[in-house]
Amino acid sequence: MAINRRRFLSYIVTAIITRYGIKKPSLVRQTYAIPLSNKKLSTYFNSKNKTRKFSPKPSSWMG
Amino acid sequence: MTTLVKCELCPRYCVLEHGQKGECRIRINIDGKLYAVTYGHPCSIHVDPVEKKPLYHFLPGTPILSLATVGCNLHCKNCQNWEISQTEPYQMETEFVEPEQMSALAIQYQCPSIAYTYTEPLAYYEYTYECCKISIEKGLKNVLVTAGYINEEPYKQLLPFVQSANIDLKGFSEEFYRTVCDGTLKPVLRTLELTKNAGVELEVTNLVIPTLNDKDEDLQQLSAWVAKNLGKDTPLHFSQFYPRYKMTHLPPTPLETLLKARQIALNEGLQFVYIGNIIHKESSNTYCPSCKTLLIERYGFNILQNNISQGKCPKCNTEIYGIWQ
Repeated sequence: MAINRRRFLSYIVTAIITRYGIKKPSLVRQTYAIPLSNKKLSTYFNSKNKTRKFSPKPSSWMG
Repeated sequence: MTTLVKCELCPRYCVLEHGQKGECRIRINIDGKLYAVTYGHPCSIHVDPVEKKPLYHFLPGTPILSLATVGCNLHCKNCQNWEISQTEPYQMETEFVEPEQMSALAIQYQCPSIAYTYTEPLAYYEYTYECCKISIEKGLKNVLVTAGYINEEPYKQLLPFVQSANIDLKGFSEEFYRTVCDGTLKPVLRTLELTKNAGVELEVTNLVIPTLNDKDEDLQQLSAWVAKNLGKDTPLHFSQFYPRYKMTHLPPTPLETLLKARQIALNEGLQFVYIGNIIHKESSNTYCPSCKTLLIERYGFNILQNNISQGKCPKCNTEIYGIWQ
């Protein structure tokens, strides 16, 4: 018996959603950020190559 | 399972994957929690004259400790501080400065107030908040110099610790905010209203950029809105634009344009309208709105004379808007 084309496509779509869709990420809302601790900050800063060293201007910035 | 974090501090509402920073470059999702990367790591600390903020109606002639961390939640193409506002935190070498230390520095340098400025204090919100809380306890005053692009609720939490604010009203159209600043206008207007309604001493700055926001109708609409919604006693500063960052193709604002802007604002009934980033004596002075007596004479950031007596005109006794001591 020839499989119904529409039913076949729905099987394929369901398989894809089942395979990939169950890992849908959760979402958390947050307004106020947690200060990054010194240890984590150190890791964060040192994990990147410093491409530019900040040089203080002789006078201050605008504003 | 991946946890996304939606930051609800500002109208951008950045949705962040693990390891991703927001548009401000300050807030990051680490394992499903939002962290402030630049907290306690100012990239700039300096003692400035208070007139430089610009603030002309707040403790004139006093020094103000001014600080910033890297980052900003707008991306203005004409930013004059882009080297710190539009850069990554990891590109800056900084030292950790506790909020308590900031107050101690202000006292050490005999500054009666602290300004959160240069970049965007509402983007480094948590550091601003803690420094403000502690400095109030030490008898200091707090000043925000900000673009005002923040959601209502966190801003209301901060306001009780703020005594004065200079807020940029960069333009008066959604199109300007979208094309020049990568933001929107409406939240800024709301921030201005909240600030004034909270009793914070408020001054507004508009940077006049040739061809972009210098038309008579732009200036008239902006001035009329300030007069109607914030009050005619709200000081308004029109600042001269200089070619910077991604807007080096435009010329500096002509003095005539700034003087025109000032006249338009005065015609709308605003009582205190100043020109900034350029020396023009008459436009830098403060006059009594009633009897036109010269109250404060300025040259650049310097006070040449201050005749305000207990917050009033010495001649006609009119109360002058501001915090004078």
